[in-house]
Amino acid sequence: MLKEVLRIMNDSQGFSKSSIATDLNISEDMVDELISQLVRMGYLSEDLGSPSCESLCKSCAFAKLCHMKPIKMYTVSQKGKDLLENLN
Amino acid sequence: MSTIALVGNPNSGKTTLFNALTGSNQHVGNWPGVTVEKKEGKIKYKNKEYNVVDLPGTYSLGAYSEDEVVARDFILKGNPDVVINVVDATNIERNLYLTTQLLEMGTKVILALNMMDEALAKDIQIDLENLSKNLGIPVVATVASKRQGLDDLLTEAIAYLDKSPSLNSINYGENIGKELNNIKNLLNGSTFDYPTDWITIKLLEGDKEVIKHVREKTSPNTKDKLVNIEELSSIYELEIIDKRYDFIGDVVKNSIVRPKESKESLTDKIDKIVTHKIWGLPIFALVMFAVFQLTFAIGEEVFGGLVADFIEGLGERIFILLESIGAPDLLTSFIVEGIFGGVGAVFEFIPLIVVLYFFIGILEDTGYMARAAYVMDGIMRKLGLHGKTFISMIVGFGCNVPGVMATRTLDNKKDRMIAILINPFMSCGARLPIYLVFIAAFFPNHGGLILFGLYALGVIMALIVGKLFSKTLFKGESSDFIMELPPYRLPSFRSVMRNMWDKVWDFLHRAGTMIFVVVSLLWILSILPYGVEPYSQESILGRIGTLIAPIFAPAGFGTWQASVSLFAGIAAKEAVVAILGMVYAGVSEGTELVAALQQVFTPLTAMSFMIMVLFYTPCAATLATVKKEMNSTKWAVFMALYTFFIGWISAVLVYQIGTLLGF
Repeated sequence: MLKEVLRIMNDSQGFSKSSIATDLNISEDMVDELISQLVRMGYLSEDLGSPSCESLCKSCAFAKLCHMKPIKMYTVSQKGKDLLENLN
Repeated sequence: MSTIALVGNPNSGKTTLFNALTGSNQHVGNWPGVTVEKKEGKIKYKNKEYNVVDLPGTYSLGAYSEDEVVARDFILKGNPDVVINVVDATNIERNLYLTTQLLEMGTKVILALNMMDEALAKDIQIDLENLSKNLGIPVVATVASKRQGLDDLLTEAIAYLDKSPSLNSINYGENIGKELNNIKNLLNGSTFDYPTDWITIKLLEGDKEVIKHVREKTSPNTKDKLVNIEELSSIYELEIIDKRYDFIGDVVKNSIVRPKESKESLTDKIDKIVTHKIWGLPIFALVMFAVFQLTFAIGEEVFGGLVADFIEGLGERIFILLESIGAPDLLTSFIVEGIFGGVGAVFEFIPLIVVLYFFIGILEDTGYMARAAYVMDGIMRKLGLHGKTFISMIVGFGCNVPGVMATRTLDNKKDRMIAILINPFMSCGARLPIYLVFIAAFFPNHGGLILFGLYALGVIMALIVGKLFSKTLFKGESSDFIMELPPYRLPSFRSVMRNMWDKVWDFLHRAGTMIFVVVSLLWILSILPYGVEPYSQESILGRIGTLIAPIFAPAGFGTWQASVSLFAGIAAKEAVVAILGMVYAGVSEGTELVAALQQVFTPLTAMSFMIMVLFYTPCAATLATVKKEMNSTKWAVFMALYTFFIGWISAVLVYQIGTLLGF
């Protein structure tokens, strides 16, 4: 399942957990867990799309003007790319 | 005294269960050698005392973090008599991964299926008997926060003390099974601190701590045979973890029934339309156009006059008051023309800003903005730009300072430089009052269209310039990323209002501080040297404006007033309207700014002025942020100059072409 999730993510520019769940016939909670596992294992890296600032938002004058709902993004790491290449 | 260990994922209710079991009979310390907190307590059950240890919350028992190592070392070396695995019943798939690892350890595990009340509320039906049968361990339903199921849990745990642990029922498949057997044979005869079956799996999984331990404890001969274990683990690590998930999948399928989910979720159905390859972009444009139209329809036509009338009325009363008490002319002029004419002009546009950010808040809260970023990502990639750039561009619509900061998510330096340099083309909230005053004066019937056009033009210019930079100054490959499209949700009123209030408060705050200071300083320049007619061309302000004005003559607005306002806009964009309000209130006292502008601008020069404002040099705060983020004054100066040039050339083109066409 992990490989399938990684492949689906790698083949798309955007995904919803529900579409992966439908494709693999598993629950959305399971998709969530599989993605977290891929991140933990270093096949994916995750960022929230918001500034990774040195100062805390609390002390930032511009905090309230930052994007309210960060968009979650993932990048397939070199380890992930190598894995997918070996599978092909 | 027997020891019961509690282990579970963070937020599974493990500590609540620990507190419910031990009450005040507990103490907190640290695990030896690490900074991880150790909680221990005692319970008395049926006249016997038991030691309870709350292990750190963890998702797995690998060697990825201190918490994981502490938890697994305690289970394997501390030899608890029974382990209670606390599982969040509402998120069982995630929690069961830890359970599979406990099963592999060959320890006595009981599953405390916690938060059962929440699971029932979500209509998740769990067949406890089947779950227990499939996992091969006892399962007890609990609600730790309500102290429900605790007696059953303790009875089951104590009964388990005299039984032997369950067998690991995970099927790893033929290939992995063969490798596990080979490794087990190799390890025969060696003694370890951990169970051999568990060590075998961990070796094949490539667990560095276990590999190190085995190398320390085995003979040189075995060590030589294990030399390729890391290479082998690179093949099997993922396979083993996948088998655990297959096992979890089977267990869940056989024992849990969730509310029926349709084959295709509503989110997916909507996404098929709004993220469509061809229709996605026009739909996004249409949505934004509707937002701008509604902003004008509600903000201008419904609430438009309220604030303006209030400020005008207040100004008139204060003027009468100042006259009646015989206040000096200079003070009256400063308050009525400087403060009310200048800062007040900025305040008049609050209703439109309130409405615009209300609708933007709704788009964000429903999850549509993530789709907008996704749709734009496709275009960005085609242009050789990084898709993440558009995220920083969306942030830039609020304010360019966090917009520039948001580029930090771009790992590639080339992508980041481009994203920073094009961010000021995103029309920030501070530029909004400038457009609004000119639209009110010259295009009142096409407000939504003009505003939409300006924002869209900003995006188009950013894309063109970005493409140009990627082909010239910053050549190189862009890295890819994948965006998660969150499920659509009904917007939360509280969240939308809060978002709107944050933007409006920032606007009011800046108008009351930064803009007030700029207006005050420029007001002083507008009445000096002493004796000169205030706000005249002879004042210092007038002379500065006259000096700059010829630059803007080819764009059609070569007046000293327009020039000075643009100059002040580099300090803060809102200052443009404030200064126009002050200088025009000065020449035609009592006439509101919109009427004053209609006398000195034409629709064509108004358009070229708005284009200049859209593109020209960003505010000082943005330039300072660019200097800090790029660690270079050179790039900040470059940004100030190149954006000014683009703004100027665009404004000149609009005016000259418009004139040729007879506008």
